[in-house]
Amino acid sequence: MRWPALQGMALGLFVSATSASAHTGTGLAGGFASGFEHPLSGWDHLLAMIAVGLWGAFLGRPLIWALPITFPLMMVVGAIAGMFEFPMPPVEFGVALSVLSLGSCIALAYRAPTWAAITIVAIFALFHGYAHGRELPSAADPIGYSTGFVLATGMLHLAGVAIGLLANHRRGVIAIRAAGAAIAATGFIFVRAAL
Amino acid sequence: MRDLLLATAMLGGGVGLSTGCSRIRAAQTCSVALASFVIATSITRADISDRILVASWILIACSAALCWLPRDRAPHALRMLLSMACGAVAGGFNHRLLSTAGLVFAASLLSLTLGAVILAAKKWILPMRIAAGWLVAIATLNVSLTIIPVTPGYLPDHLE
Repeated sequence: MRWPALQGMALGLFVSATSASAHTGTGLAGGFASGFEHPLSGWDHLLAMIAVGLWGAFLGRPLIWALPITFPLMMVVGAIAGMFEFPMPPVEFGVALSVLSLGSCIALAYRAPTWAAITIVAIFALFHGYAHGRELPSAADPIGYSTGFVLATGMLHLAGVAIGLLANHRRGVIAIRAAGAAIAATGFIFVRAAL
Repeated sequence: MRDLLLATAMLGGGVGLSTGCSRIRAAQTCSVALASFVIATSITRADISDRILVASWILIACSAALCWLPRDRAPHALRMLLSMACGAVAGGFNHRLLSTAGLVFAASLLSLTLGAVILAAKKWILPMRIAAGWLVAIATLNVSLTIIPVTPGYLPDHLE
């Protein structure tokens, strides 16, 4: 092989080289990033969390802030239950049911009393947390991972709240109820799959 | 080590939120936290045990929970005591001044205090209460993670 060809190959290898991947799973970066990504990577978690924010904004004070606080706190309780392997009803079904129920509440414009809304969200949060706790995490920093998934959950609630603020406009209410119907329809598919 | 940096940032964040939520003496509370951080950094020689890490998560949860109390209802002495404890624990994690951990603590403390004070002045207390809820949730989960030896999905790396 000619010298310029070798030089070209060496340059190509240098440019295309990536870092060694033997230990990318450990440490804050891997744990936090994968934890943050986890709720965003599954439609069931993502839709349920956006629905919590949407419903909270739709119901107004105090639930606009009480629901985004209740969900992460109860999700943590569920995650601890998952880590300690407490028995729970079928988790996948619970997660799927949460998407269907929360979407239906928005679509039907169900103005639940404060205690009832908090109870509904708290129960569903247990299922989501349990699922996270059981998967926590493979060869990655568990503290960074858990911090990431709690923060991502909170951000999704805020996204839902931001969309839900459209409820202040008349056409916005229709759009939000339509979004709720779409979430409920997706939830129905999840429930069918979980059964 | 990375856990300590995260805990340090959250200690600063917890104090910042609780300080910003109170109507009075934010500068005083901040100064106490920074002073105890510097003193603890200067006198700490030994490595930090896991128990101190657990204490740090409990302190984070307590200081963030102060945001949920009605404004000015949390005793100022309690707020000062928690700030001092948070600063001391964060300083205990740190081995030298002007380290990354020191900068992270100071940056999270000052930025969140300033942000919270500005939001509180505009009577936007709700975002701080939501953020405090997240901090309490994260701290509670991390306390349990320090208790449980092996999580269900956790496979220790061969270097651990």
